[in-house]
Amino acid sequence: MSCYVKRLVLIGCLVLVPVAGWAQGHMTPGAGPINSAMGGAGVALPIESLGALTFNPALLASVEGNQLSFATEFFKDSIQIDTTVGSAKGRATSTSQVGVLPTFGWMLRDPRGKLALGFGLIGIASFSADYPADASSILFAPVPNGFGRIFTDYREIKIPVAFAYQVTPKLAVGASLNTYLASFAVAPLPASVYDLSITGQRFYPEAGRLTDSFALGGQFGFYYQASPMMSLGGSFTTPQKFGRYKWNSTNADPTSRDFGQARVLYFRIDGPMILSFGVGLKPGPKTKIAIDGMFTKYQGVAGFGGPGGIVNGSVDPFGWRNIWTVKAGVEHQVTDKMAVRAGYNYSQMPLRSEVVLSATGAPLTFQQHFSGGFGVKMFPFLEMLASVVYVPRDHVVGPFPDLQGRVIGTLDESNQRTSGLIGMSFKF
Amino acid sequence: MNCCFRRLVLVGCVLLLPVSALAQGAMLHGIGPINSAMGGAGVAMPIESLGALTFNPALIAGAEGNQISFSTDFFQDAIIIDTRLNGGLTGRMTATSHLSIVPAFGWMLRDPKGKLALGFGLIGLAGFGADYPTDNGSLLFAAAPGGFGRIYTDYRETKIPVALAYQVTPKLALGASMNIYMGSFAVAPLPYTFYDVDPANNRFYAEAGKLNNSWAIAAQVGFFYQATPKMSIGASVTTPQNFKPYTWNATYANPGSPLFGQPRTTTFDLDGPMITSFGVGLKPNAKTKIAIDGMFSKYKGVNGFGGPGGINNGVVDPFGWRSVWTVKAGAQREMSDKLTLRLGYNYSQMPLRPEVVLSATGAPATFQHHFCGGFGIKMFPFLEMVTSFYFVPRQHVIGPFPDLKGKVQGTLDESNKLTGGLIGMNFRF
Repeated sequence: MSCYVKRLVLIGCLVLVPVAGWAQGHMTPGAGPINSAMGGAGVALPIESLGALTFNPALLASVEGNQLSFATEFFKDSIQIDTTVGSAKGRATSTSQVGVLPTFGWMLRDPRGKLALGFGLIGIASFSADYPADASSILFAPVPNGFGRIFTDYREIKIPVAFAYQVTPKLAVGASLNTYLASFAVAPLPASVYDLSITGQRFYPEAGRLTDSFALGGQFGFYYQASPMMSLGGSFTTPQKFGRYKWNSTNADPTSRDFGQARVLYFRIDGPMILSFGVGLKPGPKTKIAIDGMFTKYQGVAGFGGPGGIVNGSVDPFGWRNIWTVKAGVEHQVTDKMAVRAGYNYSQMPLRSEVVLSATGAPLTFQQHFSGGFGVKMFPFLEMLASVVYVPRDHVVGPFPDLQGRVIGTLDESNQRTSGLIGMSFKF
Repeated sequence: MNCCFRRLVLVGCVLLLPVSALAQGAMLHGIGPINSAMGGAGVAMPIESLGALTFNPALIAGAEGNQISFSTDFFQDAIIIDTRLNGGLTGRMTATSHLSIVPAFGWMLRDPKGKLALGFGLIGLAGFGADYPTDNGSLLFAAAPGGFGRIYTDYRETKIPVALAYQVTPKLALGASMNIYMGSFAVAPLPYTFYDVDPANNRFYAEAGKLNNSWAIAAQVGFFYQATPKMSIGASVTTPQNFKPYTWNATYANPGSPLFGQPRTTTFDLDGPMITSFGVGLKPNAKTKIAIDGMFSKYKGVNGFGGPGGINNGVVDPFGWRSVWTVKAGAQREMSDKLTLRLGYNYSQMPLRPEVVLSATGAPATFQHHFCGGFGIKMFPFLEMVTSFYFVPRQHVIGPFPDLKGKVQGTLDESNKLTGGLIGMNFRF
């Protein structure tokens, strides 16, 4: 009983420990404490369900029996916007809140069979900003001099139903049908719908209620065990075409008789095509290494992949470019009961300096991700997991245009992220 | 492999089925497809982790080995606001309805050789939302300052319990859990004390529109007593949840003022109620289980929900809810080794008070009669796929429609109905 109580106390501590994870582009770079601790790498290294269901469904074929993962990521950003216009300088700091992303994954393969099954509910993406109005800021001065108070909130969940098949002892292929649920709010929506006062000033309406949209997508992958010490893997995720977000809103021009009258706003944000590939190495019986590459095609994606910048006198949001990501992670079994993990992830920044103004609602400047974590086997069937991710502050600096596109100064948007994940991995 | 394929297809079908669940007050009436199908009853009936972690931590002592539940509740309400002025003029507003999705995860463990049991969960527990467009044909939703204009609310609450239970005697188990609550709340405008007045004395309310988070910690204690092989009793108490006040960046709202758009901060305190649950579990035969529960939710006096409501000093006080009693009953019948059917009914008093119906507009939770059902299919020895549905017919709260001086201008009829479905997986090993 004494041992039992010690285990319970340890579990309690692990559950309550404030620990960390991270994000690149709009997506979290890893899924769950194991994959996140390894820098999100593992497209050719089967370890547990969350990484497999997120990056390569073919990895499901490697499970023996059932593997269940449950994890929660807590993260916090720290956004700063610095403006320079002539000799005047200003700084705005976004009000920061802890974001919470829960995740669940399950995979199953009857050791006598060749077919494996997986299911999950995985928080895969998010961004948020919350700027108070600031009369001394050019960007956030109350309308019509600036945009005034701005907030954004985006959350995305992937629900994969996945299958994998062991074609030969060395080769497994997998596919998943993914339902995506995303929620989005932005106030004001600084896009093409605005109200014009008689003096030519623009007032943008709000789309502030967190509203949902769904998409379907597919994911296909393979896993090849080239030798006992080396494996290869790759996967392809199709683009995600979400329904248009729709909000009840109002006319925003306070000088107009129509101020406050009903209007409906629409905006579309789709998801990118993703190509992942990697190698898994097992240099010793206790050590596993994963090295991955990933290509995320944001360009041309509705919402994220628009032109950005000033288009026909309006601010086009996002304006992101395609990005490459390189990931590496290592796991070492220190004792029978404890595994430690470390990882590094470098992602190109999707934000483009020439349209930095478009990044204000989602200044995801994250490039270098340093991660680590550990797992403690509490029972033969249960490993308690924790990981941390730190993304140091990075900047995107570019011209600060007015709505005619004339450059009036410089805009420096920067962000850093600290996150922690805790979770449980069951095998039975 | 053929059999395996059939099972996989069945799993896929169950996962994709459009099914349902329900809510009372701000809280869901039941958690997970099993508890929800039984009307939320089961404070004295250990079946699975989600019901135990939500209503009575002592029930986790009933686990044999590991039991893990994962589920998602999909529900959609249908709010209608009818106004009738003393002069006979009538109006109707239909809120824009959104599908709500609430996931839940629960795990409980007891070593069959030991007396101590452990549980952990992440449980979507409560929520409400309303989304009214501006409507100049409506007194309530006419553009400000004629009415409140466009209004939206969004509230979501998650409970994260870490629970322990101890088998004191072969018949008696005691349990306790420490619960972390995360609430998220948005309301725009916040029709409360933060308003701007123009020279004509018209009011313009500031918004609190970003879904912001707040946290609370509370405890839950309970017992489970197996009086006879056919009857058990159980009860639990959940302490009130004292959330930190929500804070939002906002702006001055009077469009005619030079301060329009200037920064301000809005705050609102929305706490959670004390809850007492008690019940009896019956096993009339080897294949049938029946649960009958009572529950008292003390909303009165709770910051936010339990304020006075109505018009106070010329301000609309939100919610104004009263304390409510709930009666729940559910039955489970094993039809075969692989199929289990469940049915339930839940009657909850309405927390809304007719005399302050205006205060209910942001959360017209009129739900009283909850009709529930569901089934579970054992796909593998360790896995039951479960699904349930519920329907809460339209119910009304009707009362006076006052102006901000408290003078009654007519009648306000707020009504709502709810349809929901849950799917989930129940693992035992």
